Amino acid sequence: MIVFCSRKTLSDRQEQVRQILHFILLEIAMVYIGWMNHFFAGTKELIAFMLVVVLVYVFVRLVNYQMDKKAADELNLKFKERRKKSEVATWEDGRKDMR
Amino acid sequence: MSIFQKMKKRNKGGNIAVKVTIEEIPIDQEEKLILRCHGFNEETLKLVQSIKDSKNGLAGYLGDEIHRLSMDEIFYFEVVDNHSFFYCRDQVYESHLKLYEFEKMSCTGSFFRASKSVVLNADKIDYITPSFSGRFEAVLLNQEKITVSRQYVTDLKRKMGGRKWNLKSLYTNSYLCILLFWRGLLQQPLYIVRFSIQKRYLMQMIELDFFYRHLLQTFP
Repeated sequence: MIVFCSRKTLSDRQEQVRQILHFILLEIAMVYIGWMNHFFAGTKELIAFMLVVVLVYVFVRLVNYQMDKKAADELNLKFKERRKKSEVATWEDGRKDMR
Repeated sequence: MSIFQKMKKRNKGGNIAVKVTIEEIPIDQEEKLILRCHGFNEETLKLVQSIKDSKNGLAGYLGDEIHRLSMDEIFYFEVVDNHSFFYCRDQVYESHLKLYEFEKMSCTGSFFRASKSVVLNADKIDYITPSFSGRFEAVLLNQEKITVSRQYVTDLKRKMGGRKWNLKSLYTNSYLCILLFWRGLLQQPLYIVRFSIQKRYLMQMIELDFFYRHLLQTFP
């Protein structure tokens, strides 16, 4: 989480750089923990483990994106409803003025 | 029905649901607006705020000119290098307000904090899209794009009348239940109605409670 900390709002580019940095740190931490606990016997197992970490990271990102998309769709529906309501109100006000 | 809804109904020519009394006073007396209602809710606050806004307005500086702006005109408020600005449909006005001051002033309206330096008007959002970086991008009615931080999306949902309980609070409550249970404080099934949890969350809590009860019985 410290990787994403900033006083100012990060730009898209800065956010992407920090995400890559976050992933690299995560990978290093995972490999270190695995190495200390004798998870892998050789290089092949180490590469497989690293690949699994990549896959899990990508999967989590995708799930997150899907959840965000769902939230965005819900909000967009509400925006539409709200705009419709205000349009009707403006139209009615205009009609009242005409009278 | 709130006083705001009653007034709307009256304006639309329906039955008179709220009585409006206007009293003319001499010029030497102070003008006063008294609102007599059964309850004080968000809509009443909105009404009071809009009256205050119409009286005061916000000062926007454009070069040497000072413009009076209403809250409805403002798309968003941003602070850039310690200078604050009101962004309207086509114009940008400088302001002397601090971000927290504007946030405090606009909290009862449709404004919400969108990021560390932006307070955005939810009524001016055309649509919102998620991005892979975990943030949201709001496209405004003037096609301008504003980034909405993930942490503030809950505020937006709340403003739009969405659920007030986010996942974080649900987890916190779940942990609370587990803690209470493990400490042996609860001898009966959980009734956490006092937390005013929505029905579906309450069901999840009860399921969780039974699950931990089962676990305790299996591994005493």
